Amino acid sequence: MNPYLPEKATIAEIREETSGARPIKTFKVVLHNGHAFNQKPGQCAMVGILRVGESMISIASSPTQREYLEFSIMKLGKVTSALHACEAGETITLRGPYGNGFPIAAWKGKNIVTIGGGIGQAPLRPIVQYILDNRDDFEQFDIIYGARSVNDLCYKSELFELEKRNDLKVHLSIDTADPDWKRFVGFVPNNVLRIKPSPENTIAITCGPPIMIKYVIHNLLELGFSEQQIFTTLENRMKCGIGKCGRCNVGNFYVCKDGPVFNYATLKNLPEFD
Amino acid sequence: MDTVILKKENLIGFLKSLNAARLIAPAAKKGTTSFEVIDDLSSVTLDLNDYMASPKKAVFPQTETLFAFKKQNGNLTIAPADRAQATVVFGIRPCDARSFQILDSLFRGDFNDPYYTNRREQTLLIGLACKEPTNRCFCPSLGGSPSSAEGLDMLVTDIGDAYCINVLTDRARSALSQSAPLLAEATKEQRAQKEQADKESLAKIRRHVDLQGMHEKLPRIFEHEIWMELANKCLGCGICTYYCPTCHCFDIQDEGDTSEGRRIRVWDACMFEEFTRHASGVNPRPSRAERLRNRVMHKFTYYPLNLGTIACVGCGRCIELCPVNEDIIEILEKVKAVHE
Repeated sequence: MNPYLPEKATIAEIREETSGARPIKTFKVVLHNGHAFNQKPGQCAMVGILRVGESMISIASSPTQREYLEFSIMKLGKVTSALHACEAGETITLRGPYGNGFPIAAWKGKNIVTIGGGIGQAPLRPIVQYILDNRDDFEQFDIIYGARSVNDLCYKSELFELEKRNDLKVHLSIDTADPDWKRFVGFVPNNVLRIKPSPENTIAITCGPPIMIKYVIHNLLELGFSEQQIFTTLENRMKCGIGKCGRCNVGNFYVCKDGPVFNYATLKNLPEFD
Repeated sequence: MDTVILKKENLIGFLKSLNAARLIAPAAKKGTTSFEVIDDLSSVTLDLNDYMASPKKAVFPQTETLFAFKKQNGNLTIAPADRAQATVVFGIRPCDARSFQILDSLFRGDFNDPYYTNRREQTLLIGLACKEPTNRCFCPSLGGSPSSAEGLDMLVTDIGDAYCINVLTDRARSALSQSAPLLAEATKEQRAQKEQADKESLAKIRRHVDLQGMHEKLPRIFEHEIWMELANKCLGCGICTYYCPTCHCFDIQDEGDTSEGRRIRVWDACMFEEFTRHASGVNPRPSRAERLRNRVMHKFTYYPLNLGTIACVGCGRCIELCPVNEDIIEILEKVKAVHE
């Protein structure tokens, strides 16, 4: 097994999630060799274009979906800009899955609340799909998600559909008022305080901009969540994906292989996390 | 026949008898000695005693191809690089041989790195005990010694009029299958000469650092201002990492055009600002203080925590080569002196 050799994959479909200076597109990708990726929710893959490079991207589709993988990618650097210039039908490369993923099997029988901001919903999306596919395994399920504006919300139509279901609650927000927006206006951490998820038998998973994560965790602790009940994900620059190239460490943990998922009880003791 | 004697005048014949597809040994180059792929056996020299660059490149080249890619008629092919040649590294220092073991723990680790592992399996290590340790050497502080045989297949010791060779592994025994006519069983006296040489070289080590409690202390002073102070004169040039026999950080880059090219791995350095800079511009280690701290902690805390060994062999090259005289021993002493 050569972990540096990527597999070829075809972009089957590209969906525009958001526009603006840092647009986000979701790429639906099918591996050429027909292998299942066998990823866990929260795991990532090195998505690449030969001659340009690779970027570590969280897998935004559910492990229960075996025909394809989805990646929601913000246009930011060299590789992600090249991906944004791609069209459906083009060949890209994948390596993975990498990272520890969420310990979702251990959450059976619990209430789950996911708290996302902006593109931070991408790694949470497999949890949503996994729970819906195994709905009886979990108790109450809340999705809290927000972005700066309506235009910055990812997976809009999907979330609007989920809002109609009665086996979960979706709490969407935008940061600044919009005449057409009838839901909450304010920052995600404030929405958490407004909704007040009960810490009783609950796991909270938060993902988004670092500043949002910081205040979400602060507010969850205030609501009575223990450190062990809170999970989040980290990201850092990566090259190898397998803990060898030396750049993505936070303390002695490599985010690529020991993360990206960290329990807050572990995370708060890491020297470089504040 | 585990301790044998080679006459000095038979060195070239001995190297020839090893029949290595590729021989890497110290050769004089630009006024110093460096490990080179040897074409002409007479260029091998063991007289100069200061090998500035370790032979790390024998198992972890500064630049290597991971795979080549080619797009033809809409069909993309990805072909991994060729497997390694059988290689003999002759004249490796005991500290550098230990560094290979430290690199092994990382590259073999939980994800096997096939490029490194393949080269390592193809490489026979013949060490040369240090006769004249330099004034920067501190290998005994890291558990080594100028005559350590750890990680070697053979250890060669200069005993004056001849070389005493300790044959340490089965691989070494089979490599010597053609060498017997040049070798003689060591006499009791010659063995005693080797022991004496070992003692003398060890006594020449001038620098020491006590690392007791170091890996536990470093995280406790993570936020201390000492890192600013220590990094004040650092230029961030990265030479300490390029010459370090245990540094393993690398970058992956693509070369070529859209129809043909290769993906390469090149050495990189944690002392560079771009090393950790995100595409967004955010950098978790934005200044030299964070980068110097990470380098020291990687070697003396994170590596021990993750892989059970300190990632330093006490070769002192970083001390010798730093253009502004950063000194890892002084850094460690200052860390020890911080009051908590």
